[in-house]
Amino acid sequence: MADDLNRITTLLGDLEEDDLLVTVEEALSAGADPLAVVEACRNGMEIVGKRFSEQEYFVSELICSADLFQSVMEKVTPLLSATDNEGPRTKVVIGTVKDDIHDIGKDIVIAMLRCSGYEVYDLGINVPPEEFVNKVKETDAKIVGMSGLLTIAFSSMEETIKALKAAGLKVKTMIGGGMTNDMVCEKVGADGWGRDAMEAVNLVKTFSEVS
Amino acid sequence: MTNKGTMTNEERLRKTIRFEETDKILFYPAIMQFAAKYAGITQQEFMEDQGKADAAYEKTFVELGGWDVGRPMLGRGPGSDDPGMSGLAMSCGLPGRDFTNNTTMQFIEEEVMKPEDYDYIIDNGYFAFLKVLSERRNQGKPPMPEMSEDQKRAATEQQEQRIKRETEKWEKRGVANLMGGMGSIPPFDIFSINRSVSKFPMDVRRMPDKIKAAIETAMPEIIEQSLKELEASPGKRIGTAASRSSGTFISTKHFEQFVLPTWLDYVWAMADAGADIIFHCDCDWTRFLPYFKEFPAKRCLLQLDGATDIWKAREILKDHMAIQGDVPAPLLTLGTPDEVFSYCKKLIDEIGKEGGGFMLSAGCCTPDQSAIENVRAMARAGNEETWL
Repeated sequence: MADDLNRITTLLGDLEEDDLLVTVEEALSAGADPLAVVEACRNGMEIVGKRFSEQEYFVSELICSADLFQSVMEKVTPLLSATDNEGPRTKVVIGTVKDDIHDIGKDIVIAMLRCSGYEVYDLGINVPPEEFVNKVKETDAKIVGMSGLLTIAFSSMEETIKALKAAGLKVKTMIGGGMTNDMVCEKVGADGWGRDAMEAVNLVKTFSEVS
Repeated sequence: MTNKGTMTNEERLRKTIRFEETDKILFYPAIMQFAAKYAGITQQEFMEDQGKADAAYEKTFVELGGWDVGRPMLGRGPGSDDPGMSGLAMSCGLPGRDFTNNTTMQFIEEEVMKPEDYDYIIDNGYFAFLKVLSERRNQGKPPMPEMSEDQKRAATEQQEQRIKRETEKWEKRGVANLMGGMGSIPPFDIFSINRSVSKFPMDVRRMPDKIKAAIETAMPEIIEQSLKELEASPGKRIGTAASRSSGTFISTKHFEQFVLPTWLDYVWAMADAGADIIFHCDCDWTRFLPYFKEFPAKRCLLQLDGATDIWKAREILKDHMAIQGDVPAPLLTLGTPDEVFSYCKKLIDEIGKEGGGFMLSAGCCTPDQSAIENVRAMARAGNEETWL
């Protein structure tokens, strides 16, 4: 069984779709713990993340890995019982800010966060500040991610961060998108920014450790 | 802009691309939607009212002290909302309809192409597929009003006259026209955009041979189309624009496999036909820069948007390919005028004056959200610090 799980990890890391799905089927048929399969896939995603940071993989490979993870989850989820609880998960509210409708970066970040076990609330695109505020109140999330490709997003990010503060919500905020950098992060008042999806995952990890 | 030298900007542009001696580093701010902000009209007015858009562009040109190179504001011609020959079938979010009236137009990423379409392209050709794509995109929408042949001819003539008028107007002012037509986008990028960035990477893994065959079917047709376009192109320059095939998105292996071979075919075909080629390369191309040495020497201009390391580009490409760039959008939006001026000066001194073959520009374009004082600072650098 351990061999199967190791193989699942390797196959996901190598993005071998056909062999991965067959191996998952075989492992589950042989009685593998569905949660152990999920964990093996998460280990595979760590390989993907490492290869991304080493510039062996790029955005396309991240997208493929999230797709494969999702395919495995479709097989595993029906087998998870109510008792297969991984415990409370860190909640993240995320959206593309007001006046910007680009969702590529946001969707990749969400996929990578979900693969890493975070509970993500996707608010979609062109999201006004009050929707971020309301969702944080509703979910008690401690981390808010704001995405935007255009320079018009900068003022919306700033407005959103001000609205969260004005509502008295103690959250860590992070921003991302093609135009973001240290200067933008400082000007809009965010707690951090991510150059890519893996940096976003690392930011969430850091924020959740300190919150 | 006062022309203190003896050359025209058209001569300077040709010489810049060829790394020949000139008396000025050219300035091309790529002003588009920023003109609306500068002139105090909304983005909706800028898009919908050609007269107001022209007046805004004119005011921006005059008050910024002008620029050396531009692209005439050609407006929306007949069928301009259709994928047509460009291959881009995505919809647009429009100011006043999908956003507030002062938010800039944005493209909407959606899956308009299906995996089986690669077979259709291989079997029927690329432009035949674009017709199918156009019909598919327009399904469910109210039918376009039928135009008689006379009406179509009149609309086309009207647009041609406008292009001629605009081109002549800017030529009289001494502004070199960077490109006449729209150029092309590599099929790999077209497929990625039309399939969507979330679906296309899995296609590449699942059916690489089919995608390669579709690309190889498409490119000769695109070349033929661009050669026709070149015949009517002032200055004999043509553009090729890519971002999804950049190092941001794909591996070197995939660039070599799916992008480079047919891109080389395209660019060499244009160069052989006498054209200079303008590469509009958004996103990070740093990793692929060595491959650009395979394109024709001293016949290309590489436009960078701030994501590619422009200093690395100069170091690698040396006098093989001219470079344009790259005042970054965040700097123009959130920086100070001093910061913008210093950045421009650094580009002018370290890339322009050191090696030649350089044109100062905003990265990609001057964003509509740029601070007006920052754009003035860029224009001051571009008009005053660039004489040699």
